[in-house]
Amino acid sequence: MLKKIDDCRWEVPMTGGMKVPGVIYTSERLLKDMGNDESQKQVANVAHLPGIVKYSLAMPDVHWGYGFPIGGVAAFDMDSGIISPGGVGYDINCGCRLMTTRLAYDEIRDSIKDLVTALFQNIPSGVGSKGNLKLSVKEEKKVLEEGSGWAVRQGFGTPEDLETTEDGGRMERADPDKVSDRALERGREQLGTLGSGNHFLEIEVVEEIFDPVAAAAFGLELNQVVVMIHSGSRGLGYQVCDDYLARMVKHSGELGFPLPDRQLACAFLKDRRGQDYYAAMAAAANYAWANRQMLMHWTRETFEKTLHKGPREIGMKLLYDVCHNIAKIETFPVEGKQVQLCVHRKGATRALPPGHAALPGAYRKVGQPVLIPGNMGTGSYVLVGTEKAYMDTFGSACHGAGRVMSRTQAMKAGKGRSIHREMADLGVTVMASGRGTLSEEMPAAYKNLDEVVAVVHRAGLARKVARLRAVGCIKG
Amino acid sequence: MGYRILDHTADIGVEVRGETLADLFSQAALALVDLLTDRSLLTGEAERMIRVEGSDLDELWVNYLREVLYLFNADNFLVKEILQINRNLPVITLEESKDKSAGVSLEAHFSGEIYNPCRHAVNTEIKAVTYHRAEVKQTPAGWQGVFIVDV
Repeated sequence: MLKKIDDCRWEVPMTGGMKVPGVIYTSERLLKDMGNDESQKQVANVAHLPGIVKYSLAMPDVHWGYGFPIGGVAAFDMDSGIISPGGVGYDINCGCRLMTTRLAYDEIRDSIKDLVTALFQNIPSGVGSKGNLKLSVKEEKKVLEEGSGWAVRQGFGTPEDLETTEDGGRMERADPDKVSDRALERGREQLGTLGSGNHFLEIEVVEEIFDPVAAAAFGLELNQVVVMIHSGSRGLGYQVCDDYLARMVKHSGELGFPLPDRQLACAFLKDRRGQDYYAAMAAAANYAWANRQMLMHWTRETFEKTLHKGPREIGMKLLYDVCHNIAKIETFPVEGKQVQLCVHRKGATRALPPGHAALPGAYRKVGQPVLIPGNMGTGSYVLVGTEKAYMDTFGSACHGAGRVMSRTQAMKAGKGRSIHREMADLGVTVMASGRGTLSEEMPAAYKNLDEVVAVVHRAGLARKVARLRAVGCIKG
Repeated sequence: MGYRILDHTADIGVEVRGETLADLFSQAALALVDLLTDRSLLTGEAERMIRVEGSDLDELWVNYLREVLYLFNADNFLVKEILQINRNLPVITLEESKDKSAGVSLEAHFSGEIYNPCRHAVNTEIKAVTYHRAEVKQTPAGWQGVFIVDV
């Protein structure tokens, strides 16, 4: 049912109740991986929702999710459109932050094991891991309102960190009173924890530079040591999604249209339920930003202590922090006019072009850094946003490699193998707290990151700036 | 009756079978906890009770599993066995389950244990039980239900 548009785009033609067509950014090779994957159907399902603008999009790392596909992007009209918790995902403001350092790989080559061990000790990780502080509900609500700024006020980092965080690490219109007691309770002990599954903290080395001008603007150079953190809003975010999804499912009969899948449950942006969800989601997003800010702070401390160097010598600077599970009110051109839309990105990264007002001064000339984490061991990419993404994909690009193997398939494929050892052979020191995590997250379980990024680059959604190679990794 | 794991790219799906609805719901809770931990290591010294509602059986199914998961997420309580499941009024028949307006509810009592990191391993973090493809249906052999968790 797919119709090829060009080498990077395939159309899901309008059928049945679809209000717009679907467009999947992919390649012949990645399409083969999609196989019987249901993600095409999910792209079509999203196109049924009221107020959807232009098309239902999927990035090259698209894979089968629930409701919205993972790697899906959809924008909705503020008057006639909807907002959907399933279009954001359970891990609200799951995202990445990348820090640069003044260190060259040669300087830390012999300390990687020590660094990984120390990071593993200092950064709480794993299933349901608890942080080092238990917040009062009153203090927690401040986190939900202020985001990264709260963490900086507590001494976790510096005000400069906020300048290179998407939205300054604080989403507006967040309302902690729209977050349930259940979510607040779950969030109290988990602030400052990495989590489990595909979340990680990775020491990486700049291996290749594709765009020297953008790389210079981002402060990246060859052989430089950088650190990537991939984490989100923990149990608080999952609970916010779960609460509002249940509420919207309960009232789905009042929407006046049939849902192709209950997981697509939604509310009109104009209605109270939609606005309440937005306010709670924004609060969870702020929690995630505070969380990553704290993880970064402890990473800085750990580097200083382990390497016996001062903060200036290490020079760990936040290059950028960007979320990839979110719904945001943003303005994009539609039929020649600037229109305010509610853009859902579920496993997609914002990618703003040069000159955009939301960018920090240092990046305004080159465009927004787009951080694409690989999975364990494959390294990551830094890309830069383009005008094309601004025009065609509501300023969005891919968010990672995307799974091809189910977790159970990966567990089977990993049986009897020492993934730990295989990673070491690839030159990556790994520590993980979960038993199954290493197998579930093994490189073969994912699409080829190079191919995913190549499609994004060829399609012009974001340009390649640098490739980062993993040398050390901690996982939950 | 029991359950089997379905393959799903991003998440884990489970297909559960039961002779009766009560059996189906019991098996489902055990399947969910089995994904989290080795249930044979649990003592069953603690007890918990939950009450859930749904506008139909499918919604009740997801809401029930959400509560079982919440027992762990909020309270670190891991279910070992189901002591009792009462389906409150109205008694569900297949016809009634299709009638969206009827509304269904149930009450379940569990034995289990509070998670102790020294004795229990948690294999997988389950973020949530999703509504995606979740359904309960009657089969010639009894009842069958499917749920997908986000991990």
